Amino acid sequence: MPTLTIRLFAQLREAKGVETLTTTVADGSTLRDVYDQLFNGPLKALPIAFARNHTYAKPTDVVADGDELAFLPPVGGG
Amino acid sequence: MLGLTPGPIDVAAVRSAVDDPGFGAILVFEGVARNRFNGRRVTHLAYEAYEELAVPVLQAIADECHEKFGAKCAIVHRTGPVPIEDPTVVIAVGTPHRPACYDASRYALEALKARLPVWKKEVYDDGHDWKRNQVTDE
Repeated sequence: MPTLTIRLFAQLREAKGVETLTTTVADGSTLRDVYDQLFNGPLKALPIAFARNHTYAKPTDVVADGDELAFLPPVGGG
Repeated sequence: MLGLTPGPIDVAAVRSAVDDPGFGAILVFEGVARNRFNGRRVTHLAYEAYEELAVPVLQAIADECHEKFGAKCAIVHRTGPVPIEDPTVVIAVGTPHRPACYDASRYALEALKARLPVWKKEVYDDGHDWKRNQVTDE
């Protein structure tokens, strides 16, 4: 059962009230699975980009114990 | 010079970072915090960033500006609260000739708006919104 660190930003951070959280998920979980376990309602429909250990990752990638994931809502820089 | 800063951006320092005796053109673009959105009064903006990924993305954009336009590029984006009229992002580009300079400046800005992992909160008198950039073709 992989234990993960999750970084949250913008509306996702506000929804959970923390910038970082730790969670344990089932073996074989993908990044998308982890997101769907944590968020529902309108946040589930956001077009999220995924990062794992500080690089972009595919939603179908399988997580590993100790990974740091980041869920990136639509960006608004500039 | 590529990075994020929690305080006011030193515009002159960003400009100086692209100095080069071979350049005949330098452009400095400032994105600035505006006081209205669709008729609502904006009291201030607040940005947050995923810094560990934002810095490599800025580096990639600067590399693309060099490959496509022969430009040197410096970019600093502010994080945290930003008062109205303050710069939110400063992009300096330098090239040997002016056409490529305009192209590189626009390219860097649009790439940043599409890809930089930075989020903007627009704060109103009675609430706030997380703003999502309209992505244009580069």
